[in-house]
Amino acid sequence: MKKYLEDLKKELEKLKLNSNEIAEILEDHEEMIKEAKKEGVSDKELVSKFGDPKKLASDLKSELGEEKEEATQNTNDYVLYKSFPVMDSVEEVQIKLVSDDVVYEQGDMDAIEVYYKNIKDIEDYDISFNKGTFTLKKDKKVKSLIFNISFSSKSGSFVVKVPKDTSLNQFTLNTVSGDSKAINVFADNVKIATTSGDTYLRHITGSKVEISTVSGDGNISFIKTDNLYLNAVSGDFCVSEGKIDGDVTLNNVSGDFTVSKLESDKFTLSTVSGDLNAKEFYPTEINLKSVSGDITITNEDKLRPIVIGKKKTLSGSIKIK
Amino acid sequence: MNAQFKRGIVELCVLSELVQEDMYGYQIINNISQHLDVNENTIYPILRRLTKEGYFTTYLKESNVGAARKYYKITENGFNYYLKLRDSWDSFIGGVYEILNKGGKKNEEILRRFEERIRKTKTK
Repeated sequence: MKKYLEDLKKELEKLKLNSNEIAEILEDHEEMIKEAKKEGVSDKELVSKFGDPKKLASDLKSELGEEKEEATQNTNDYVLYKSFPVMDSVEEVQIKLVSDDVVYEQGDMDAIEVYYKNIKDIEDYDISFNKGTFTLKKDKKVKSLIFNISFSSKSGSFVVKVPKDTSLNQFTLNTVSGDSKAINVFADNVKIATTSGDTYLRHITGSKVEISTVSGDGNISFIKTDNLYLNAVSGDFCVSEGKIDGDVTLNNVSGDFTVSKLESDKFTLSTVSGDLNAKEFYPTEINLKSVSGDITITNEDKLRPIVIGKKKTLSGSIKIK
Repeated sequence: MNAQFKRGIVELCVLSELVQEDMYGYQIINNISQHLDVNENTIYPILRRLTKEGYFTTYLKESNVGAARKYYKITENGFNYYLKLRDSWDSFIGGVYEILNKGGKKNEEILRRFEERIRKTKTK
């Protein structure tokens, strides 16, 4: 029995299921095996009844559909601007756009592919790949901002596909009034700043992740980092499925935060009137600085301790259920 | 049997077990594997997914022997899902049997008809 559980644990870890999930699955199996033994099922019968732990783990993974890869962006109605062959590796990605939407993801080619649609003058953009640095930038010298906004009826959009398993030193994404979507970003430093567009991030891994948004809504899932800084001025932000090895700092003025399935070290929320609602959120310590914002956490595992650290608030409260 | 097909059937069986009463994990697995050739590693992932999808809830209950057991309870959502699934299963399997029965209901009958046919073609 011990061996079966150990094997199962190894297989589940191999498939990178999250640690809470693994713990629960093992608990369930320990219980089931005990029941079976109580009913006089022999060790030999047990093996045939429970089957191969490897198959169980892979079935669990596919049934639970966790970390299911998102379908890649369909580029049928896009124009391929250029495909930059990648000989060594991509070290840095810099995207700076105004009023255009952008999607960043990994593709199947050994090249960085840039697609676009509804872009009037593609020549006005600086799109290059040089010494490991990929740049997609609106060249401000050519046209003024006001001119562009007033004349673009449809917002343009870009799709940037980098080679599979691209791991960067630096990922920078800056957009104003366009929506941004980034999937599978692996970088030491991740810096994302958006103004008045919505931000959708999935599978973000980096030692330091900084995200700031002004007035757009944000959604981030499957984040793995040592430190997460999230600044949102007035948009709502949803953070789900993540493991933060270090501290989490969330700042905002009036938007609400929704957090689910997140583990972290020290957690600090600074807000004026925004609330934080969390489900299955396990920081080791909570700090709150607010005027009227509340923190409400609903956790299934009541035994995991959450220390309430500094609390500086006028009318806000911290509730852990 | 095709794995995808088998999974659909096991899903219906798991739901059906819990429509009867709340049960603990091993009980469900035992009940199903008594009738069908499936083992734990097929049933448990389905049980877990259905729970995650909100078709079942779980609670712990002390047993008279040993540690507390985790019981699974069907939710209203789960019950509605079962009804839907059961309905499509019934009409599917009904259709299959109508097709099969055209050839005869039991093996003896099928065989008899088949032999008859062969005789007929020989005498022609």
